[in-house]
Amino acid sequence: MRTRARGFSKCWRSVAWSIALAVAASNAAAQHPAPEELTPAQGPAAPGAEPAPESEPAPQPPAGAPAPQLPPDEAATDELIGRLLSGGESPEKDDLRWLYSDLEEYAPTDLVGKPIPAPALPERGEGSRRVWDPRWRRFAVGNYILTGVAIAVAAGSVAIPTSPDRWRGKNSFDESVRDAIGIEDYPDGQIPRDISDVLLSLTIMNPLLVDSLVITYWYRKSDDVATQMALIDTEAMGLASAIQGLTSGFTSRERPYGRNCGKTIDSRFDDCDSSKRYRSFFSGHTALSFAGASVSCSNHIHHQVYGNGTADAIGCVAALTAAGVTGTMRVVGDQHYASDVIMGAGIGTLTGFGLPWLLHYGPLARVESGSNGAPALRLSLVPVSNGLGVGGQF
Amino acid sequence: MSRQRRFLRRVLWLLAFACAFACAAPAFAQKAFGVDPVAPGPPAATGTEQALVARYWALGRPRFFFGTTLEAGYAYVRPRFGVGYGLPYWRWIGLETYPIVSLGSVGGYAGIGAAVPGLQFRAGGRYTFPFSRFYLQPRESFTRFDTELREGDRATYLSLEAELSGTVPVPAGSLFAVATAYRVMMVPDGFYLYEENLRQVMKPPYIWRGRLGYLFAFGRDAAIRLGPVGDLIGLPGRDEFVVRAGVVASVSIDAHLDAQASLVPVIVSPDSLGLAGADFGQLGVRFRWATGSTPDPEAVRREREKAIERVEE
Repeated sequence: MRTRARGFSKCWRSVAWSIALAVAASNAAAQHPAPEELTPAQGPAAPGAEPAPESEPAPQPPAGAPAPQLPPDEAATDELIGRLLSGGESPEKDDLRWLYSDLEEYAPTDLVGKPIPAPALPERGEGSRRVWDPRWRRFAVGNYILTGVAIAVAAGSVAIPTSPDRWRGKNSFDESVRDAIGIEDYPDGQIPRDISDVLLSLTIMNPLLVDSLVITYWYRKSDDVATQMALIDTEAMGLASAIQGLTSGFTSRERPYGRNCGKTIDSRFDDCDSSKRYRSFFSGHTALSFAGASVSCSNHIHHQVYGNGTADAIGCVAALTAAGVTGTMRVVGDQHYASDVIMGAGIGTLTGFGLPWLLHYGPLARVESGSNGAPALRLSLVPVSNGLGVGGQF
Repeated sequence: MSRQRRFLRRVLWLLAFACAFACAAPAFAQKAFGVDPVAPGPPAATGTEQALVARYWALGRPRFFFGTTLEAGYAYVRPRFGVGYGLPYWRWIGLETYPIVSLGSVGGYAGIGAAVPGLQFRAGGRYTFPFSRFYLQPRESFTRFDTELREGDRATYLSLEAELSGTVPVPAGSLFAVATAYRVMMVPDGFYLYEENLRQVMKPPYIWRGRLGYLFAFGRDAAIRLGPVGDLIGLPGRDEFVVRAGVVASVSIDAHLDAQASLVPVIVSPDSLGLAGADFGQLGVRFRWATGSTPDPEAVRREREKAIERVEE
């Protein structure tokens, strides 16, 4: 009981670590170069205000209406339906939005015929559009190759054999942090480990599911930007995974709990009896969480995903805080040393912010007008005597 | 190349990617990062499948079809394949199958399925061959440690299962319910088993689940759904019950695609499995597709005129 109470007390103390990590990362975010001023027609509006809708205004029928009112002229209806069913883009497509809903079909009576009018909630296509700034570098063949290779390398790193004796040494910094916030009783550490799993899934899925799919694609109906955003998210997280997979495989550092395997922890336990015991450096949870949070921040900086500077800033800080808590919980749950988590946070932040900046948004990737789309920095694969190499041209 | 063929090619690429990812993801998560998915596959059906069928699927022509449902998120991919007759996802009867492919386990499911608006039934067999789960020695209570000990024989099993899910409209949304029953086979006498779908330690052969939930429908097209859900899981062999409660949420992106999330942690249980006993696995998207799914223009015209009449009234 006392051990459990001490464990929870350590959990609370660990919040300080989380905040420290988040603050460090948000400082890094603050130093990220601000996007150049763009005219409303070119891209996002100035921070702090919902950008004005662009040339294609979103339809605003009343909440709860089952279908917009159009004249029930048979020929016009047939033409409209034909356009919709042909699969092409049509300005009247929203007239048949009710096809996407099920409620009327299940609820033909007035009892349940209308959903709750919730004007505070976003509606499909209601948000102002986002347009890809033509000066930003789009996801291209090279990026697909990079992302594919990164994911393959990360998956392939599973095959790196463990070397149990390669890195068992301890240092005073890691040990003192472990003593301060780590839960000694391994089963009691299950709660922080579960928290880190939940937060990891949230920070990974947030840029893909919320930023890209729900807000940009569904709410803002900005298919192009949503696609680019999702691809860049995948690229950044894929690279973080590759670096982490290779590093943890080759360093083969034993996790903190490893010293207790066969002593206080049953050696038949999967955590002791599998290769993951020797994948401590550096923390994959932390690296991926920070990569997800940082690339989400990058989305908010460049695309004003929420349409409001303050809301975007809050979203960014919340994501980084969640990533910080994820990393801290890995130490509390005795899965990693502090140095594993710090390195993971650094690599994750660097890839999440740095990669989009380097390859898509920053000055080195900028597409200059009149240059036929040639980037300021061009990377290409070139054949060399014993394989392929990467060449760069400024 | 026609639009349909391009679309079909995209779907095939998507499926190929999904299958590859289904193989790689668990390895990727479990080994490379030390990230432990709480179970090798996604959890059992949420029950919202039938509550969230867009009427798009009701306006086609009855036909023989091949359909797929792809659920993907962190950290799961579950492609389902079906052949049948009728209006897919709306009013149909046919056969369903899905593979279980991961470094945690391999296996598969095959069975029959049928649906009418608001009601869906499926029954079939699921074989699971886990790599790192073993039959469990009986005891009063289990921790996650106990379920992850590497001793004894590998916990392969065959589950004969039946599931009935339904939804009824109620004010401002819909009520949904799921009744699930499994009969587990191939487990030696005297051993318990961690059942991967319902995520509970059971004494074979029976385990069942009843789920009840309510989805508030928000917004103009009821595109946003959010609501509470509760599970009652029976472990007859152990003479115990498990209660889970949480929330499910969904955003209908279009007739094919939903974003979905669910978190249903354990409230009452004889065991202490943490997330391994919870229904936490839906944080991703669900994509539905079927051959010949384009709505019948005549049916669309009829429905649209009815809608306009309602507005004018």
